Amino acid sequence: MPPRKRSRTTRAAKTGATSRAQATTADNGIEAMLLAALAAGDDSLETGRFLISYKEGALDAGKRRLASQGMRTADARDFEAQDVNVADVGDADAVVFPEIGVALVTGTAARSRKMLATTDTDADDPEQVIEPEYFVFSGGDASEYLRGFMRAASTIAADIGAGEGAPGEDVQPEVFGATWGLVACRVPPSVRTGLGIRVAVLDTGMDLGHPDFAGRVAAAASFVGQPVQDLHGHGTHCIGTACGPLAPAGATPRYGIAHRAQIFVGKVLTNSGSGSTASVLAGMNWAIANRCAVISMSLGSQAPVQAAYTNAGNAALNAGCLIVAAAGNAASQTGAPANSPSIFSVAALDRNLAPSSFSNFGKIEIAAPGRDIFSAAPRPRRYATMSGTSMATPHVAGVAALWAQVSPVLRGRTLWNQLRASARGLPLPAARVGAGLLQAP
Amino acid sequence: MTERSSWVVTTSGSLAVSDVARTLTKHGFVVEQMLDAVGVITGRCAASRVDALRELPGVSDISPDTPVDVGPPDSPDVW
Repeated sequence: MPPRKRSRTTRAAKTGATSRAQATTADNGIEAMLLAALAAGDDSLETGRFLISYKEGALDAGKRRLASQGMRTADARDFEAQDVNVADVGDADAVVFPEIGVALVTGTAARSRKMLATTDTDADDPEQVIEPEYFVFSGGDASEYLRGFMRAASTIAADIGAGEGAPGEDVQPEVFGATWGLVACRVPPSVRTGLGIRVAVLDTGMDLGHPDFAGRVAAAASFVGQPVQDLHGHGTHCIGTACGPLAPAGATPRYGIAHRAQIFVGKVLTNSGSGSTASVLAGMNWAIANRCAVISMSLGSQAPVQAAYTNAGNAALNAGCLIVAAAGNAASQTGAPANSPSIFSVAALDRNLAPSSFSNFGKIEIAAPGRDIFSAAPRPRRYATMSGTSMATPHVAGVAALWAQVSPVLRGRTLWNQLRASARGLPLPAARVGAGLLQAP
Repeated sequence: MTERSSWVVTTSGSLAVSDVARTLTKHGFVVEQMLDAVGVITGRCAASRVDALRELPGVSDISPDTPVDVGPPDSPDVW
């Protein structure tokens, strides 16, 4: 997609080196960019900056090409702990992030060189993809646009360290790094990938054409009479957290955990997000028959323990499968199926590691990040931020796959015990957080 | 109690799922799914017959098929 022509009169310094310092400030000020876009009525969600993703091993060649184009580049390695405050890169035209093989080109530099978004690079080009940078919003619809704008402004500004003062330890890198949930669960430092582990996600299906998941789906089945393709978004989001890629294209942060696991998509809820016990049980049956070591279920109802779920959970454990399920979001007693003794129940945590206000309690095995979780969404949106024990559950599924990769012994009940034993204790009642905060191997 | 037409039968494991399904069918239960891996049968019948079906060999539990969803809407931020 070519970059759109813009009419942002409020953006400082449209052209020319004489205004470079001013342009850099404007280009790097997320709030300024947001407000400029808002003032111009621009609904493209593009920031004006461009992201160049380089092919593996081609970063140096890419830097040379930037230099040949007359761009001054800053390198994240020149900053302490690679903690780059993009506002502090002086008059650089581009910032290179070697850990993720990406360069961020300022809007001014991109415009003056008539940079175009493209995925159609030649074999000997160092670039894999050139794409516009997008704002990232919370919330799902146009009515939340403004609210999302303001939240995004503060969140992104905090993430890139904009504003006064030294980078705070509590600031989680999300624009170039990993989501707060992955960081909290110590996923980024883990060497495990989920390779060879089958992870089933029983939900509203998946956007099977999402670019972040090419070649990742091992099997897909629908139990609700609709195609697996996810027109709801919930399923794609959950699969994204459990199994999303190690390094999504562009500046998208890492949001997925078991990035080499085999994905089994079971559509047990319709595109309106609803289903019944029978469709869920059919999906569980399918996942167990396929010997998925981890089965993730971000669904439920405020119902008492149901014998069929308990039976299914036991059948899973006996077959070396672990079923993890969302405790529910009613701020009440754990719902079904998570309330079954043979199903691993997950509570949600906020970023400050306090239980989320909506999170159910009572029968809880573990707690995981569940508030403001960034993950995949069906195209054309591609990414979204959602909250719920539904989002905490695939964190557990992904980390369970990492543990399962550690040893073939870690299956079923043993995997259950390992997840709990390795959790980080929290100073909160077990009825709220179970064994504590989920931790990756 | 509202009469429901869809039911979830949990088997006890003492008999093969297919055998339990056959017995249920003889007693007027319309089998829709036999889920061997989880020991469950789903199907339809009149609510008035369910108590009798619960007494059949190999049947551990019969419960109404209930709605499941991704809610109650997870939070104000969720779709």
